[in-house]
Amino acid sequence: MVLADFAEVVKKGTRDEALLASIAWDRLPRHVAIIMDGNGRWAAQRGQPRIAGHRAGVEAVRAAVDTGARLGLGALTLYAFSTENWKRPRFEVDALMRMLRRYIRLELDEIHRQNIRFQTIGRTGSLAENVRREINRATEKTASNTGMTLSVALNYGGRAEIVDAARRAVERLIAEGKDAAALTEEKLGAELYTARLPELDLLVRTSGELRISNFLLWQAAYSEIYVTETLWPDFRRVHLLEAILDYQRRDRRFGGLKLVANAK
Amino acid sequence: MSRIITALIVLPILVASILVPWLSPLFVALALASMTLGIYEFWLLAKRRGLKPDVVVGFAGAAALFTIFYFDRPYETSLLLILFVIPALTIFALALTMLRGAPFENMIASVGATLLGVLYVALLGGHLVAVRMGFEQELSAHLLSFFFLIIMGSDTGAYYTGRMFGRHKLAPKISPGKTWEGAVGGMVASLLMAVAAHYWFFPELPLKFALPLAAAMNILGVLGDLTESALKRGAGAKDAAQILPGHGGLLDRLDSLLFSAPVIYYFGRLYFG
Repeated sequence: MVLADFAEVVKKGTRDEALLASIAWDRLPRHVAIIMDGNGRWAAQRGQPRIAGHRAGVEAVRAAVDTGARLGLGALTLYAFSTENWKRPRFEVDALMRMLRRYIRLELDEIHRQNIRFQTIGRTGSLAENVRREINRATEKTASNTGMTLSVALNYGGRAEIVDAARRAVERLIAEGKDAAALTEEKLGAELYTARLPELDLLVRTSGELRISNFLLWQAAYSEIYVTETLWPDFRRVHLLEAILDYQRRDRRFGGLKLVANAK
Repeated sequence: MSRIITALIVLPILVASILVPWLSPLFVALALASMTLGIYEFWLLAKRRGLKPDVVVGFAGAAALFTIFYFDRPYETSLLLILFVIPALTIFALALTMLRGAPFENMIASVGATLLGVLYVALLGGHLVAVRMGFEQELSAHLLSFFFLIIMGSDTGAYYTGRMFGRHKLAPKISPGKTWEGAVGGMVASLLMAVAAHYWFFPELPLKFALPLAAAMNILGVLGDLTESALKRGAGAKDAAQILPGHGGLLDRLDSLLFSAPVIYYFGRLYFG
């Protein structure tokens, strides 16, 4: 029974348990991505510095990863740092990088134990050496795990990803002696960071903003979007379950008329 | 006997103040109380040598340092402010002693005693407050549990192996009770504690770091212990003062952890990012 995976963390009679009981286990989203927004606002509401919000956000990351792994999602992708975030004050960028390092140091064993495959997406080449070393260690250690793939988007931009992918796809075509007309969606899709991941079914954004913010532009073409007012540091298992239940109530048509995938 | 009773009362309070998230003020209060008394004992030793430490300036400096340690937070350290407090303290201690007027025969030693009391007890020991406040609850609990397990393990291991097998004196002129056999027993015990901590609650700290860290803490603990004995001996006192029944002075309790406190703090900062 799938619920058994939650037996040690979910108490009887709680809202978590009620939500878990109503989830349709055969129609789980294959891939959930989250835009983790609201750390700054959370801190401002408490009169604390922004870093305090990021700090509190780490707890939400742990909750989301743990819940995703127990649910048995194929993939969970977290938007941690965009190509635009470099514009933030240097000490904030610095703190975010150190948080990432500490997160991996502290959580890698647990991630590995849960059979999670860790990877990053984005132009990680421009991150600091000690952060990259930590990322590589985690990626290598978990490379052969067969459970959920946890992708952390770092120095990630959706347009940059498409441009990088298009460039590589075209280079491949040139190498094969073909012309531009031979470029297909599949060929471009195979060059994206997410090539090995299942289709993005659900895109969650916290903190109530109605924007996609350059995240997974290509992959989100037919994703269901779920926006919650909850600020990221307050996001817990119950919020992820609510998002998934909301997703399961929707009719997904992928542009056609017939109900697909979710219609059972 | 009174030694065991004191330990039975203090130890659970210490453990709770480390493990229970909302009891962090209790940990700070314990540290504040013991270090205030520790500094005072240090100055009492200085007074036995005829020096006149400036207790007011010294306590003000210690309070400033303590405040800085208290406001340390993960990813935003406050410890750079120490660079502001130490010069200010130096200036005040010197200038106020000068303004008080002659005689100046012992001025160097007296101002030195004021500053050293602050540096030795508040600056070194205060790092434990920074470990409690400057890391996330879970990590700080793990680091402090590790710290006290090593310290207590090496003290206890040294005491009992020394009593059973002790033959060769370690430092007869400073602390006649200490033996090489006890020192080895303390080292072995602290390494065993590091292994125990790793498998018991701290898997995030790999053994290749936990063991050297424990070894360094053990050596610093012995050095700290001997150093405090030498200070007492120089001042012609047996115990720094009698505050905890059976435990000698508070400085005698703090001596083995003061040198290691900065080590665990900076290790945590560097290793865990």
